[in-house]
Amino acid sequence: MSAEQNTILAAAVQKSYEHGFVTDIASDTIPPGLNEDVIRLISAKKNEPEFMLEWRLQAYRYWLTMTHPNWAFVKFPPVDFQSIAYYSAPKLDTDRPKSLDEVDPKLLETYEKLGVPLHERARLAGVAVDAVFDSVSVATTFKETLAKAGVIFCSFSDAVRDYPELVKKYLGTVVSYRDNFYAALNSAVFSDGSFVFIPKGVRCPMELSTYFRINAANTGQFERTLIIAEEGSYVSYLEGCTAPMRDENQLHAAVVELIALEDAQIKYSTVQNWYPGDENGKGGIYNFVTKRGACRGARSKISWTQIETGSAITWKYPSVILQGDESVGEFYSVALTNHYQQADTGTKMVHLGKNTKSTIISKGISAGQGQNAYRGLVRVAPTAQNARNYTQCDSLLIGEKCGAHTFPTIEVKNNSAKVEHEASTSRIGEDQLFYCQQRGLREEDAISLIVNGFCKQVFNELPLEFAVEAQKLMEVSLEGAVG
Amino acid sequence: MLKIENLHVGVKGKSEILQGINLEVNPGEIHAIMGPNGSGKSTLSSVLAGRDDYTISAGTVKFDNSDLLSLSPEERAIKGLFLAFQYPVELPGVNNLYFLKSALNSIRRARGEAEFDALDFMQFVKNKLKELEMDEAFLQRAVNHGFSGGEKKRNEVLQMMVLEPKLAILDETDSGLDIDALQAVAKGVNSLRDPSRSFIVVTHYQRLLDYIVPDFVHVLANGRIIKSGGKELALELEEKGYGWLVDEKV
Amino acid sequence: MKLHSLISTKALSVVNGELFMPSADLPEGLLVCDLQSAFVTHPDKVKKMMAKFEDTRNLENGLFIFIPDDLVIDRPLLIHYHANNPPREGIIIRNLIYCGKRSQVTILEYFSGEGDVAYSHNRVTQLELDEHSQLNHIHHQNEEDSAAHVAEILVEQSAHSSYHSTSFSTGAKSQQQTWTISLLGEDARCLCRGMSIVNKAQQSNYHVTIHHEARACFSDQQFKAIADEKARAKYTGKVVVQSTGLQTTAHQQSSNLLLSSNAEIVTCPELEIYTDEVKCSHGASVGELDSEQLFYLQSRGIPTDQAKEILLHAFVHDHLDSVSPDIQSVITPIIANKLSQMSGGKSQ
Ligand SMILES: Nc1ncnc2c1ncn2[C@@H]1O[C@H](COP(=O)(O)OP(=O)(O)OP(=O)(O)O)[C@@H](O)[C@H]1O
Ligand SMILES: [Mg+2]
Repeated sequence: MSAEQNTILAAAVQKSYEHGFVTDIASDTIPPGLNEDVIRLISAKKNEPEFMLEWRLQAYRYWLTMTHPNWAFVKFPPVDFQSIAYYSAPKLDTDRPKSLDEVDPKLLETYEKLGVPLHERARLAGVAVDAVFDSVSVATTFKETLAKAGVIFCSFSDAVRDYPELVKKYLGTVVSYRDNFYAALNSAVFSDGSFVFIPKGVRCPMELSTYFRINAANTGQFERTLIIAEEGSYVSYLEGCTAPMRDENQLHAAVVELIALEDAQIKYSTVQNWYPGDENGKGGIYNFVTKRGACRGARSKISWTQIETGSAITWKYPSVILQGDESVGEFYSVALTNHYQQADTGTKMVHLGKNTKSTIISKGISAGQGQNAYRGLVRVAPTAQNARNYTQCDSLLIGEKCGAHTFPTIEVKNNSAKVEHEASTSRIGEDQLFYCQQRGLREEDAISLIVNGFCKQVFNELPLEFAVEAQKLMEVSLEGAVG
Repeated sequence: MLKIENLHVGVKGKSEILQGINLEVNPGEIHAIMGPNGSGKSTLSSVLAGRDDYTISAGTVKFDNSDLLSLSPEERAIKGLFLAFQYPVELPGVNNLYFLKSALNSIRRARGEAEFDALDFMQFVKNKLKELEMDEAFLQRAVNHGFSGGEKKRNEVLQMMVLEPKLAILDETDSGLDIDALQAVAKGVNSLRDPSRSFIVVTHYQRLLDYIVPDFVHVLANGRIIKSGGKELALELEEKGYGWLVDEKV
Repeated sequence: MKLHSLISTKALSVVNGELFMPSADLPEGLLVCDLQSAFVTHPDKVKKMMAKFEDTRNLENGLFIFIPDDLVIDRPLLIHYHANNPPREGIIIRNLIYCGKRSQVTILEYFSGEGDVAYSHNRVTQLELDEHSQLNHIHHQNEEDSAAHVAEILVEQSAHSSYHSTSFSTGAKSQQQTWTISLLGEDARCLCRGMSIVNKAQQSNYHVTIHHEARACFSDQQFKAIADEKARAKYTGKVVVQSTGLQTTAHQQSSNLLLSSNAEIVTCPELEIYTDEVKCSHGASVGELDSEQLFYLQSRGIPTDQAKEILLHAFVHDHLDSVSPDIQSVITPIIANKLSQMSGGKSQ
């Protein structure tokens, strides 16, 4: 790019991460380190029933036998698991806030600043929010409205206490603690997260959302989300994430499990904007997440949409196991890496049932020294008669030091399957840029216009309010990217 | 020659495309079928040719007094049924000349006739090409691959002239043809006219019927033949559209 | 076996790894000798090339093909590698091929075997294409059903060189071909095609990596596979564009036909890119024969089995068509014979 373009960029680089503030709040933090006692302590702090503790310990013992995986296309120094604090919660006068009025005003203010007001009167239009601050859920809005519809939406801790049978029945059935290194770790130490249960035939009356915030230093966030959609039900769920600017890397290792029974539909959207580190690659969140959905019933559908702009390293593959006949899996993703960010993300679509269908649309944008990898697996088992998959993964490169990588694997063991994959990688189109500039657009605007166009297919999948937010987020994340 | 009775046809996702078609075509006759987009003309043509995406829920079709619907597509072709596709399929990598020869010899073999050798066949095809004013270069290209819309249609007619069917169904073979091509196609069809050979011509334009004069014109709408008449009906349709007929029926 | 005769009458033959010196019929100007002699005649070239790929096995057998600068030959060089009751430990060959500046040559390497023991054909082939040279390289692996075929092929291309390779695999119980092609000089061009046609319990594996290290290079990988019965065909194709690989154009296409419900296709077209001035694309597809096309053929009176065979031939057509007529004439009958065993229809 031209020298002039470089200056525009240099100027724009200054733009900072706007969620990078720290909330000064007294917190109850277990000292760093990990052993069985820490796990017992976490479980005790949460008053968990025996089965939960047993499960955690099993996971922990299994984790001890595992080695850190190194196949992903990301580079980072070894994580010292003994230097992380596994539990941190805002200190509360009472055990838990009974209602929103009891929530510490500083916390309410924090979420206000993040643009997620928790007061129901200032509510996000028709969206119920579960706010997770460090290790615990601090508030869940609209509980009553949802309860009327029969929908359970609460923190994971509440679910363990109030609906132990449901938790016991479904926890770990999609992502077993043996699944991978971080899933095992999460199963051992997870502190909170969200729980959603949509009963038979219910269409959830509003969007559900969880807002994750890491605040305390040296803390890892290990939350678990479990969503169960019974026969014929529907739910749309959104998660958002932010963290303060700190020079150290912080670990976020979540597990998300989705279960869709017959004719049920789950739409899961993520706008991930963890602190990405500064422009020199210092600090930032390590976002190592296991997300998987099981289409258990016939004609069920699970759809993942993700906008990944944050984190120093993102490493996750929201996947769908298509067990039910005629079930449908979808994955729509935009991953943007700027400066020194690294992302290795993609999906797995495992076709087991008859007439199952999956669609994968992945858009990677690399700028600065960012490294962006798409890794995908489409597997058609011998049982998956007439399975269909369509995959499209495109990469856009902005700057000569960035990298874009594509590693799809297609395994087909049924000859009635039809699998198609298309991918392209190219630099942002000079002629498109020129065309826009010739029509009077500033280069920055032209780039954001083109990038938006590039991501359109994915943005279209987001609930409307969030589509707008995602678009803005892209603009901010791209600032300083041209060069 | 062809007798369709009470034919009901659907596909997955649309249960009733054809809702009781009755049609009889005798040797030597030309029947034109007209009708709005989506009324089921191509469905009827495809079902007659034996495409298996469709489910036939009721009705019978007799071809030369024997059941047609139980036959495979190639058995129908061997019995002399030919369909000129509305959207001819591209076969990249399959040589046009080789394809024509395989088809013709396969039909001749099945009928116990002598197969053509390469030289005779070449001569035979060249003559047909000339009638259609098609360039010989087409023979060495892959079947329909990269052909323009009009070229594909001509290629369909070429196949018809080579295979010399008993009943030819032309599904919008006139669409996308320039005037010269239209006349060439009509010439091809007329050259095959014979007291023992019949045609079903699906078209949207009465223009074609100036060149290929039909004995009967049928209007297909919403899966039924709602009106039949002589060639004047086509003129009337050209003038008034289908609205009056469809409304009348409702 | 008779099918080979077309080749063996015209080709240099290498039996159990040993070169039988051609009586005369070599294209003029071309040097072909066994590796041992090459150590004497071209010690520097041989040592330099061998140093690039360390192989601990005992690699004494092999060919040295030296194409001098400016040599242009129309007539292809045919080499027939044949296993005839080979030793238990298998045949191990190491070949070095050097294409001089501005030279233009076509080489066919054909692999076959006979006898009742399972054998393995193991080879390392190194190719060096000097500036502006053009090599058209065709492989056909048609080993006995019981054989294992393992190939490691390393290609280095200088500026403005052009390498076209087409590899057919119809034989062997299992075959593994690993290709590494490095585009080291600017405007180097590489077109790499592969075709696996496998049935019974055959396994075919192509692993191709193309390194774009210089500016304005072009590469295209086109791999196809037909798998029938219990066969398995795998393709891993990788394009690596280094930061020096500005103005790279790279394509990959993997098209696959699965003819039986017990066969398996695995395909991984990968891209690894470290600069922004590139145009890369890949595509992959796996499916059955196209039902529209099948119906079209049937509606013209062609019986199902024959229609399927026509479509299979059409599927291999581009690859076959891309090789010169003399070579086509020798390998087409072998491929046609293999296709006639499949036809998809019979296994359903
Ligand atoms: N495979 C299919 N799946 C779903 N709908 C179908 C299928 N095939 C046909 N149809 C529907 O059936 C109806 C009839 O289609 P058909 O192609 O027979 O119409 P047509 O009369 O030939 O129209 P046109 O004049 O546009 O060619 C249309 O509404 C079409 O969309
Ligand atoms: Mg039609």
